[in-house]
Amino acid sequence: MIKVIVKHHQFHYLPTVLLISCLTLSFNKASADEGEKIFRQYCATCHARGMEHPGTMNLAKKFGKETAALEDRNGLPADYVRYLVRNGRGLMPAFRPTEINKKELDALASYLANGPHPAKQIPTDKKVSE
Amino acid sequence: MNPVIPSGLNKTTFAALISDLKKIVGNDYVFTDPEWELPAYNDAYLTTPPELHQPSAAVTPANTEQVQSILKLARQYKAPLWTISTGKNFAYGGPAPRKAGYIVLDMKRMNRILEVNEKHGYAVVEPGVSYFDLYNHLQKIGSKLWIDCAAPGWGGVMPNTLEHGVGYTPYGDHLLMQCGMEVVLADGTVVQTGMGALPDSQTTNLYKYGFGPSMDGLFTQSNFGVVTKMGVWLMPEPPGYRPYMVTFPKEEDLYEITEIVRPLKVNMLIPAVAVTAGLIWEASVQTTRHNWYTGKGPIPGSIRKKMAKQLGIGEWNFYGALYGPPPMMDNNWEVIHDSFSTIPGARFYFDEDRKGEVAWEYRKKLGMGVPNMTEYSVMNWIPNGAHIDFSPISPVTGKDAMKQYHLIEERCTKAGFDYCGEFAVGWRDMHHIFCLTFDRHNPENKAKANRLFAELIDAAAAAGYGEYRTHLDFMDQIAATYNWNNNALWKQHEKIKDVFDPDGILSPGKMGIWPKSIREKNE
Repeated sequence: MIKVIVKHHQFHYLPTVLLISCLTLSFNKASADEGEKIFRQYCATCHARGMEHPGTMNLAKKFGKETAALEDRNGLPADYVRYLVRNGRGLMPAFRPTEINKKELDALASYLANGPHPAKQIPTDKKVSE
Repeated sequence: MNPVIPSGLNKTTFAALISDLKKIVGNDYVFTDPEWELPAYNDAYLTTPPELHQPSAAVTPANTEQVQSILKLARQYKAPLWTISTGKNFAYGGPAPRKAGYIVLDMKRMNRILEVNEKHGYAVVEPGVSYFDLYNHLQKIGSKLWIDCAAPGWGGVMPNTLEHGVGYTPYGDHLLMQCGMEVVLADGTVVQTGMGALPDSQTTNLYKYGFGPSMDGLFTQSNFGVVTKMGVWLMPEPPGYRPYMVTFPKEEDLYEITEIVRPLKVNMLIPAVAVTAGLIWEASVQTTRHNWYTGKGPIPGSIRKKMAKQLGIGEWNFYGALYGPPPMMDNNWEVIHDSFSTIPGARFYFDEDRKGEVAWEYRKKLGMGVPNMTEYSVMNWIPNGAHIDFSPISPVTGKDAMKQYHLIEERCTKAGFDYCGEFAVGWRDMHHIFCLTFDRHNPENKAKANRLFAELIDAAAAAGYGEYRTHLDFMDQIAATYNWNNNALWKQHEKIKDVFDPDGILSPGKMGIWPKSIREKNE
């Protein structure tokens, strides 16, 4: 939709469009950051990469080890994520709104829907051993 | 799922109560939607129909004052509340209430770490603080204090202590390490226990017992008040930490292992909770049953040998750790090594021998208070796995260990389940944890698990063994086994309940303690 507007009313609307785009990008970035934060806080303990995580071990049976971690999945449907978080599945119990509220759930669903999220490369000198 | 309302209320009074609750905590913190909000307040691992534990609503206060106001309303409406904190008491009921229709008092919003005292080694936390939260906070502030966590790290520091939970460092007896509580009584009175009762006390979180009767225990595994703050002692990081594992090849080795562990524990050469885990427990956190055996019935001995060989484990697997300066650890290890070496086939491992192995890594983390969730994989053993834990207490003797093992294993095998268990030795006791894993999508399997659990309670009680904790569905049955002198102890609990909470609003039925109004109805 934005592309069409730009094409036909390039000069007149351009500043507005850019502003909206920037705001949208800014919102999306904020939402993605929030989604990733919630993922790290509540999901990664079971769904991060590695078979020591029970959710990843479970999903490896179905999807194989390469795409068992949730961040390696290709675009999980957002509604599906919302449903699973609130209702649970298999060994995963549901999460209460006091743990993940509606806004946080939307951000999380959006983050996973926009996957996969390749592992971030951490510079060697920043790696911390346990 | 159809909405339910608390017993004794009708649609009109319930709607009025919900409206009044919203005035206290705000619209966003009262939950009544049976499709999107309340399913998460039920237990994912039930062996009974979920309708039996479906709450009518949940309310979540932000502070002690709001807790007081909620209790006032509950008294006014005679509405039953069910208190949860982090809500992760899974295998024992999770966040679900004892009965359908209760309103869950969800304390998760009160999740502040109020103090970390580096000098004296303690923290003060609110109910919603998880082990992950406290651990991350200590890391962030650069603290040199360790936490002691339950195996599932998402559990709560305070609620696990209140449920008499255990961990895996030398501070593993959680209630022993609790010091100071703030409690809201059913009538709204706020009480500080122990030294905290002295205004401007300098020792609230340093000396447990205060002056006069020690009350803290009354607010654990009970329904006599709502705990809103708690002090917990934290272990200073030791100069050295060296976890180890010893594997034993034979089923009957459990006898000798336990005989060896007792003096090592009593004399504190093994300072942390000492765990002897069975073969299936070890296998299940890293593989599935299907990986080894696709037949029905018990896994044949030949397959068990194959599992042991390929995973480098034994029929029994002992986990312990050395703490302290290296010379002290070296000396202690000599005694421990010599003691276990008397068992033929014992094999000894340190970190360098098992680094990277799933089962080893999570035990290593637990021994130094690093929270993780790996142990949840025991449920991956079978498809749609869920579990309830049967956990009788045993003396630390070989005879008792074998007796309990056979008592459970034989009934478990007969019922068609795999024995997945471990023995955790504390100061003078042994917690025998049997993780009864069943298929949560198979009604017949769930019913079988339920029947087996009930059978185990009776069999254990007949042999003189009682459980330390249990699932909601078995609280009454287990409470009834503690019946010496015509149920004198539970009658005392009921008397206290009637004085502390005459309206019966706080967690009715928790640990088989029912308020007078419900007892009279059932008579």
